[in-house]
Amino acid sequence: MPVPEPLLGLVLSARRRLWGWRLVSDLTVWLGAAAAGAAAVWGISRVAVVPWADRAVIVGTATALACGLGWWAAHRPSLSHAALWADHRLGGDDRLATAWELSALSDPGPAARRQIAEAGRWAGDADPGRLGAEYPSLRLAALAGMAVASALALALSPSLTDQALADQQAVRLAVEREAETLESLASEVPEELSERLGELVDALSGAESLEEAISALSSARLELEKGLDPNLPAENTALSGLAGRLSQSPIGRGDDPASQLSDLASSLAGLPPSVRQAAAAELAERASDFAGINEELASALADAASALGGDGFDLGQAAEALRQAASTVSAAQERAAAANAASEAAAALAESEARLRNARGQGGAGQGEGEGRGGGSGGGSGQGQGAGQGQGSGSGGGAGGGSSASSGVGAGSVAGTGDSDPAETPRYSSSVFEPPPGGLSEEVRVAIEGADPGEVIGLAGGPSTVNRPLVPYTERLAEYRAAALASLDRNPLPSHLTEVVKAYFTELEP
Amino acid sequence: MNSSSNAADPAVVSARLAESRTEIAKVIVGQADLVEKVLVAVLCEGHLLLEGVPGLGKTRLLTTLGQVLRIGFGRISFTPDLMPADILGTNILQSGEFRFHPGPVFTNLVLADEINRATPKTQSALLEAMAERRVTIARETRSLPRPFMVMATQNPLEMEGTYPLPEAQLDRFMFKVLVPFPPAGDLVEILRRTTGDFESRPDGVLEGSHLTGMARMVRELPAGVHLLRYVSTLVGATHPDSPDATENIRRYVRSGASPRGAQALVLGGKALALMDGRPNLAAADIHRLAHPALRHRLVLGYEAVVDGVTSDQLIDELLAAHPEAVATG
Repeated sequence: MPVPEPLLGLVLSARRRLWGWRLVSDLTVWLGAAAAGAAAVWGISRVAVVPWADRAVIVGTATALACGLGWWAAHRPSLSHAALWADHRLGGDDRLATAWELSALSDPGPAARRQIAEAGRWAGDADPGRLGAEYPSLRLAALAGMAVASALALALSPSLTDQALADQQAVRLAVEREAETLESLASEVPEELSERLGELVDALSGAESLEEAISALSSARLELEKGLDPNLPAENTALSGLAGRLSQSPIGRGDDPASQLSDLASSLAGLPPSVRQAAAAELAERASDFAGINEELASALADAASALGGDGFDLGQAAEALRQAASTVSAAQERAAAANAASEAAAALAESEARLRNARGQGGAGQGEGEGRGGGSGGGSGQGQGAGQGQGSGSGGGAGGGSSASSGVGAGSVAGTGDSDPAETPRYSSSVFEPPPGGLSEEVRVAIEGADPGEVIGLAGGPSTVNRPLVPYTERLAEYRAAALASLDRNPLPSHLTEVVKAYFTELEP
Repeated sequence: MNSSSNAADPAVVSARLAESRTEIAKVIVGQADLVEKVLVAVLCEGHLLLEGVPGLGKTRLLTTLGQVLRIGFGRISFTPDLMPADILGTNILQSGEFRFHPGPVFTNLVLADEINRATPKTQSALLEAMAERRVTIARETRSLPRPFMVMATQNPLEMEGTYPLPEAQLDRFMFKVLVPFPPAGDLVEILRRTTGDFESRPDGVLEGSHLTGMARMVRELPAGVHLLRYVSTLVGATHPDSPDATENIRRYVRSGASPRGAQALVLGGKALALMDGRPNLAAADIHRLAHPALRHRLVLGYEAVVDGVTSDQLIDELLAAHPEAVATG
């Protein structure tokens, strides 16, 4: 029996509406389940590090949405279900559902026909707008809402995993920064060292943990340090002294000792004996600087001095001795340059290692291996200080210019002793301002005890700088002195100029 | 009213039944729900057990019903010395041959007053009559007139000298209706009618043929398959071993309702729909009849007695657990 048109229209309308509301219910269920899962994952990530927590939540939520949509699409309400739902919503007392079932009969009886017709009339009078909404059940909505609220609360509050991921990211960035620094350094050093640094950069880039990166740095540093000549600082100082002395009192034409020695060898024939004797004395004195440091160079210089100033002056023999000395000096300078590059690289690796240890937050617990080397004349002592627990030791020798190239954790600071005037009254005994980073826009005049009032000590910028914390003077002075001495190591100066620098800081001491 | 007119217009039937209720209301004050259940049983040609304390008008209601229906009416007051033959009838030697003298059961409406006062032997004499609407006496089976209905009353308070009906006989009652104490307003009206010089007599508005036609209409009334399944689920869930049973049913019920209970729900629901002038059975009809149709069919265990749990409480739980029919297909 055909279904009456009004009945069919009402049932179809009810099915559309019911199916639409089922989408809301299905998504509520699935999203609630996803939120509960997310809350569980994020809850666990508060007490344990779960690196994949966020990814799992995103994938889980997307999967839940897809499942919800799929479930909804696959469970379209049947027409008989829609008829029954319409009965419930419109108060039909099951007449629509019963008529729908009866209309499927091939030969319904008179009572059934009467029922179908009556249901059709009733459906014609019914208002589909009164079908209303089929909201998800309150219990279901409440459960889903609680799950979503819990997930949001856990998502917005910091967790152990968030901290671990942030630390991991910071470590990653720190390692990358160090790799870039070493890459830059590799472009400035000799080829053999550059290749080694390139390998180290690759190792850092591929490091999966901070420990691995630190280990690579440490291994490379130790390897470089192992290849360093212990006499290198002393030889550097001696070579610097030789160059400085000959630049002040040239024995020939040229900018460096080897050129002057070669020039002297070629101009011996017309050289007055007094000049020759002075050159011999200078070379003899310089030869003594290399005693115990570079015996070959000391011997060559001594031989040249002996050939120039000896009683039986032989022009050819003296010229040959001077050329030999020039050659030896040149070779020593080249060897020293390469060794200095390696030393600088080792220091850079040590600094990188220290920074990475600090990035791990264990800088204070790090065990540094500080080693200071000093060169110069006179008595001196060095002391390396690492950022962690590094201890440096230095030896000073020469003309009072204690210097140290510390390697190990942190930049070593060296306190050397040499010629100074300890009786001079200290000029500064108070504190100085710590200049704020950036924004040196405003000069602030600060009265310092023991100094002229109004003397500009530092620059500070921005408002409220007056109450910024003060830094103890002695602490700042020690930092500056350490930096200056380290610079001296990297850029050799004549011994008398290093004395000037050292005297300057000695004068500043309280 | 002929059968064709009955089939043509349920509204006419509804109006005629409303007229019957009006006539009954001339005598019986209030008790609309009780009267409704009684009429439903009449429309279904079902047997009815009324339970209530003395004085609530159980017997008066049934005698009034007999007057309104204008069908054969017989009253049997059950006592311990009542014998089966007193109900069914007996063969008497008369003029040299045995002649059957029918008992009071040979009528359309039998009022079995205080049925639990008779001995089980006498009570069981009604078994065949109620189930098959015929009696067998001296190897002769005799059909009872149609319609045939047993309307019994019993008093729940007096246990001494009574014989509780066995489950088999209880199951033959379509409904067991509890007669409540009338509210204050109704009691005032009862007092006014019964203590003054006033007597109201109802008119007979329905005849046996009417009832037969109505009973056929009830059976012809459509019932959706989803509702039949719903009834099946409800009745099945009264059994403690059913997966649909509630926790308390599993705990307190020893035996659930029989298929007669399901039949009573569907048939009675159809009768209710017809009384309301509706052309089909509805879930609401089933809900309205769940208690009278199922309460005497749940056999409760000892634990229920100890905990004071009643069948009606369990049926309430059952309806709460299964509130709606589920669509088919």
